[in-house]
Amino acid sequence: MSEVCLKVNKLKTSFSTPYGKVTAVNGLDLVLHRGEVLGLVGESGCGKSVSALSILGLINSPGVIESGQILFDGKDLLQLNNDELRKIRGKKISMIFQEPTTALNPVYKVGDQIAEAIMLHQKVGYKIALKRTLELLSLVGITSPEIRMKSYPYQLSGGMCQRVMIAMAFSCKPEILIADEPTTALDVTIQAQILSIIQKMKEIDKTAVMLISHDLGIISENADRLMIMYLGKVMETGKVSDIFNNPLHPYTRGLLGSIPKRGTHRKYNKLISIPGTVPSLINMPNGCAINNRCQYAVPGLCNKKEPDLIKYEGTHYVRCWKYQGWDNE
Amino acid sequence: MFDAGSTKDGTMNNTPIISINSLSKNFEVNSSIFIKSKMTVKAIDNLDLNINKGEILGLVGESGCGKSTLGQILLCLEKESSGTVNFHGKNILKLKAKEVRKLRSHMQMIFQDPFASLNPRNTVGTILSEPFRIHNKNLSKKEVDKLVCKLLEQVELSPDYYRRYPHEFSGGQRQRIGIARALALDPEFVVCDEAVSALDVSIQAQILNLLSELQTKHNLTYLFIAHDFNVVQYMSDRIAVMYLGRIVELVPIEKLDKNYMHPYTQGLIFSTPSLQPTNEQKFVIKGEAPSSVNPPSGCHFHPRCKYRMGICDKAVPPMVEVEKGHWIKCFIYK
Repeated sequence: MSEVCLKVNKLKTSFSTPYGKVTAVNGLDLVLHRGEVLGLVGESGCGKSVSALSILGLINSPGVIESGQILFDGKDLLQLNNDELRKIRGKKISMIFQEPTTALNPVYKVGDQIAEAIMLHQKVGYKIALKRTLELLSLVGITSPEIRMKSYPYQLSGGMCQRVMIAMAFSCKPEILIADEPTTALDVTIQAQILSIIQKMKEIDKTAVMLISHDLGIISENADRLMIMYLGKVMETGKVSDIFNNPLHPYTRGLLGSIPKRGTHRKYNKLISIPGTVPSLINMPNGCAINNRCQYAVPGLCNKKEPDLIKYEGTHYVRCWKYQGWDNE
Repeated sequence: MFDAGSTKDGTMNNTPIISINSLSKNFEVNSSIFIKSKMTVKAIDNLDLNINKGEILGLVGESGCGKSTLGQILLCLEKESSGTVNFHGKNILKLKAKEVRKLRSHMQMIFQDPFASLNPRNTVGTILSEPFRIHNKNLSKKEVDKLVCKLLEQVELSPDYYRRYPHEFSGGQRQRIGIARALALDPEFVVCDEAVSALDVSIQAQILNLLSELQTKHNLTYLFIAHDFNVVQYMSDRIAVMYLGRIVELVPIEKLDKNYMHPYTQGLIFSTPSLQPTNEQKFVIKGEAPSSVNPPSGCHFHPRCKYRMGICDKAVPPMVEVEKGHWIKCFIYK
């Protein structure tokens, strides 16, 4: 594997609420290599977005990063002050958000918003920045970029705004791009276009991409490795081909069984759903986070003690008692 | 009528429960807040469609193609601009408000957002007994309570939830309450408008299984509106693909063949992420769906179509039956 550009150790982020403390990310370990796409999958509330925001130092009160390390470029990002972080954010690590129309500033022209990032981080003048903006906009597939760069966000469609966001994110040739549900708000035909642009831009700059999505289909088609999260913890991680061909964790199997596959029909294939609902983070179950929804759960073990994330083979890791000496059969 | 009685597979009853004839819906919008001139959005453009008894008709398309508007017109929640909708042979669009109310016990809707579609001030019991209070006035309170508990059991919720408020439930449970409410009066026809798209995948599977079981149990007819092609394909007996107010393809599920379909359907299928990545060249549809204020001439899809021919921007292609029950609106198949 190529060089490591980001390493997260035992990250723990929590929020204090009137009902008690909520630990959104609980001991996350993560390694991101140059030029790879790492998929982060999970249902709502599993902590995938909070992980991304923690990496960028965008957790605000009442949220707090309790412990852990985020190592980037030989430095721990959690030890840096705001000024130092600002030099990294948008330049070396950039982010694309879910809702493109609200992520852009409505009162500035989109071209100026991209140019601002370039001027700020590359210390160049307005004219040079605008020239680079023009190149970027045509790279992300915006037709007649000279006209479009003078438009305001409301004049552009959602897909167009997301292209502008991508252009902005890639404006300083970042080492890491965090894409948080970049296509969830878009139609499928536009989604396919946006994902192929992210892939293309990634190839040009050899950027490492962290792709956050709830859609396993998107991850299977776009990522190299993936991490499956549930209630703030990683349940299974490994190469996309390993996990899709040989899903180990009962939760992963449940997720894969829940999705209607192409060419299946309700008359012949019933969906294998996971019973119950995701519990609230305030009332976390004891032991394994999923034991109350898992059909293999062993009373006295799974609801008492939490399993560790252990190696199954190669880069394939799983957090389940089933693979730690105990077998259901 | 181009699809009457076309799905002959023995198991299905082919009498149309709903037949839609040349239905159009235009919305007038102000072109600017300062200028008084109006623009017309053609949400539904001269649409013909039959929905057969006991089938699940999937309606799929991108946002703004008019699929939700169609569902709303069928339930008389929105006024049509022209055309007719016959329910059991009777045009329901010309009914008086009182008659429409009666009709609602036969047709119901399951909405997309389970957080917005339940009144937060009412308990589940009140929400679910309302249909009986309106349509079955002679039932006693006890009888209604019994029916409500039966409904809750039907959607796999505990009858103990009777006194709880919507905010105490998760999204999936709320959607079950929405389904229970829709089924309260034993309707024949249910419009599921993006009924699962707001839910997490594991919950989505539970709701899809539930909808499928209820359909078989009560021989319901669904118009299943969704934007995810894999979900629509999984649920439906027939699929109608809609693009800018027109149905461009109508296909029984067993005749779905990727080499033999409308170019838009093809693009839609290839754009939908799949769990089984293939080595096939991904066919990405270029550009974005144009606005329905000013739709392209001829075939609406021609600016984005890779098979575009000279005639495509001049004339509207007719709906052609390429094989039994499979209709395509494209000049390639003419």
